[in-house]
Amino acid sequence: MTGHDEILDPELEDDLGAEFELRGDQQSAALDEAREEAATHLETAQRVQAEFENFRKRMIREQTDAMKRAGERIVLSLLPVVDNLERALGHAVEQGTGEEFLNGVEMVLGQMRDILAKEGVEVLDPLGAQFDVNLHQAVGQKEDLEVRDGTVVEVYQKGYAMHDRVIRSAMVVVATGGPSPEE
Amino acid sequence: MGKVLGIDLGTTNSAVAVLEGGEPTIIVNAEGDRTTPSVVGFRKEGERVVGKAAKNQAITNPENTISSIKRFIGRKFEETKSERGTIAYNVSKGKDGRTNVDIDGKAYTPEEISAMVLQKLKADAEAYLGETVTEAVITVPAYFNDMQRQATKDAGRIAGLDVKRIINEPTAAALAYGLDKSDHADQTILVFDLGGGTFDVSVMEIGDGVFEVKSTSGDNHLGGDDWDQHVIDWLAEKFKADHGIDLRTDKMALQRLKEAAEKAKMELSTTQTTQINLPFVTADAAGPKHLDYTLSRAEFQKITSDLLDRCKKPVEAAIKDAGIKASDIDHVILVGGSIRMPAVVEMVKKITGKDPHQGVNPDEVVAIGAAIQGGVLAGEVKDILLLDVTPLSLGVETLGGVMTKMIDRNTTIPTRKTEVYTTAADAQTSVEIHVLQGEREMASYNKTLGKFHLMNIPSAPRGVPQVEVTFDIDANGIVNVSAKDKGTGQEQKITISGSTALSDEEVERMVDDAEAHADEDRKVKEEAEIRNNADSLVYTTEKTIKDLGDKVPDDTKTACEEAAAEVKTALEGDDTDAIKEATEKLQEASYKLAEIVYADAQAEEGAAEGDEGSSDDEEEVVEADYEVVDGDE
Repeated sequence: MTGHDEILDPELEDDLGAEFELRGDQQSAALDEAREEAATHLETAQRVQAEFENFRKRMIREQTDAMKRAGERIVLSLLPVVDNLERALGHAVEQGTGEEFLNGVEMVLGQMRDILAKEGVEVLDPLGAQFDVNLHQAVGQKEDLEVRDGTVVEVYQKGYAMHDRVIRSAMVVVATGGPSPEE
Repeated sequence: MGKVLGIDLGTTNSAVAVLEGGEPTIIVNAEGDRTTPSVVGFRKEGERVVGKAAKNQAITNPENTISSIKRFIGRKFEETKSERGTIAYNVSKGKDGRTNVDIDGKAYTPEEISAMVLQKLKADAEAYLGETVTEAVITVPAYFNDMQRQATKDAGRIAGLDVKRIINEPTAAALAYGLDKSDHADQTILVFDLGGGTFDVSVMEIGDGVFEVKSTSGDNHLGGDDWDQHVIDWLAEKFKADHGIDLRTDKMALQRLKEAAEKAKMELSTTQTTQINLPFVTADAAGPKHLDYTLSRAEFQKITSDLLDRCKKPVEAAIKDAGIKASDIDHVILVGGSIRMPAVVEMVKKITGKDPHQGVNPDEVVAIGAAIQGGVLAGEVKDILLLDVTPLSLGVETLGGVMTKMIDRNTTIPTRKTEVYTTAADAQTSVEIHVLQGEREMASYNKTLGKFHLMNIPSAPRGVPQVEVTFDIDANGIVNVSAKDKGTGQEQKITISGSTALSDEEVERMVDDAEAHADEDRKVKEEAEIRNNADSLVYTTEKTIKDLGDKVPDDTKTACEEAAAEVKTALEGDDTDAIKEATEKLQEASYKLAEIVYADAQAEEGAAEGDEGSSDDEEEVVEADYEVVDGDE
């Protein structure tokens, strides 16, 4: 206000000054309010943006996963066929079926395994390995003092993994009573 | 303000959901599953496993594997006598007469065990969301008393979660179906929850968004597993009768029976019969034996009818205890995977006389409701996500009176979309932009929002000018439509406000209208397309003949001109089939022209190898511009 000092008479200046100041107050209050509002909007925008970024990243990840897993369902439904072919061969060997026939069926099974392997399917056949809760599902326990405690002594059904994900845990029987695995 | 998890902490399985952009999403756990077994295992090596891993090792470690801890949480040791017989781990009397779990001489409270499950759910949610979460809404059965609720809350606290609220499972299910938003006065809701191992029925009343539980009933030890067991027994008995071998005594065979029984049950939810075959299920001296039976839905329902009866009584009891009649029930909600069995749905329908709410995955509905409650508590729904959608589609009228949609209905706004259109006639110097709203295929049946002209387009053959039309809807639903001639850069626009301010009834009427007229509209649109195609083919044929000049043999020229004249005559009339037929004839005749065009282009290419100018000719021949018009549909 100093600029006005010389032009205005003191009385008028008092009056105007008060009014100027009053307006100034109003202006600055309005400015504060607008700034606050702007800050809120910026925060909201940032939050929405951040959420969207995270969402987008996850969508990309999920899409990649979904593509990988597209085959999972069909593979999963084919596994019992592989299981049963293996069972059939097991019985055939026991009973001494014709060797040529046996070789042929073994080739069929081999073909099937090749197809699965090409699709990134990995077989989990843990016989003799240590029981792993992440890969195997224990369906029984057997006292066996000969092997280390926690050794898989029987595999009811092989497990399968696809793209680092267990799609079917191996169904196993675990040994108990033997020496602890650390020893 | 972070996200609030909605957690369905179940007796056998748990699920987690979160609101994302206002929509609930189920969180997939580290193993890639949408639910997590509520099981904790203490391994000999001192390792602690939770979820599927814990379930996997349960049989090798029964005394140190805790499942169904929900049956003990917040309860006095004296109250849990009947439960104690059903578990393989040891429980003892702890502080203040509460129940403790004993693991290798160390006592854990049920709160601590539940917290271990919650910790895994929290960690998996954080990995999934890519951010830290500290807040949650956890659900409990409606019959839980204050002690059980407090204990559940404490479990959350131990797991590092700030439990914003404990809500009832049936309430969560009702929230997932949006029943709190009903504008009607007091509503009575029956929630039927048949899970893997527990069965709960609740009757609630809702008024002004407040839920009040009127009665609860159920069976703590009834669930889908019982249905599986009945199928196992049926298969085993049948096999025994046929082959004299009891498969239940053979562990490996029993495992296969279990899997097959569950699969058969699930299949019978959608099919009338299912084939159960287990080749080489066992063997005797005579050789291998195969199990191969057909189970029909009728037979399945017969062998499990006792279980259905056990579901009936609690429903009737809950209705009676609530002091109401079955006819007083306004809504029925089904929860839990086992309600996928058609017989169960039928039974509930029969007792209540109401069609149950369906649509939300019954395994996930409680977690979803909890997430919705979490969103309300976090204020997320109010603060950020007041984003509207366009209630109806917006578009412009194109050749033949067709409405070409630019923005589909239910698109979240603000949004913006640009398309390039072109002229329909030679030397057309203005285009009319007719802005439409609605779902019908033809412009005339939709609502006109506005019209304007873009003038002074330089005179050019049809298909050459490029008019860029942009629709822009801001957050307030104000629509800006602009049209710009890409050649001259001149632009026209129109602003339409209040286009989204239609009443719900109006929107509904317009959508229903579109559905009702879908078939006839499609026909009219097809007719318009046939006319457009015919017209365009005549145009290009004539143009090609002119462009090629004397390269076209006279007989080909005459044939094409005659065919074109026929199409023109047909276009004067209303017989669509005649137009179509004439167009096909012209198409065939014009193939000869195409041959000449290509031979010509090849000859030219050979003559002017490396001459960039030759590509200009090709552009004129190819119908690219016409396709712009067509491609917008």
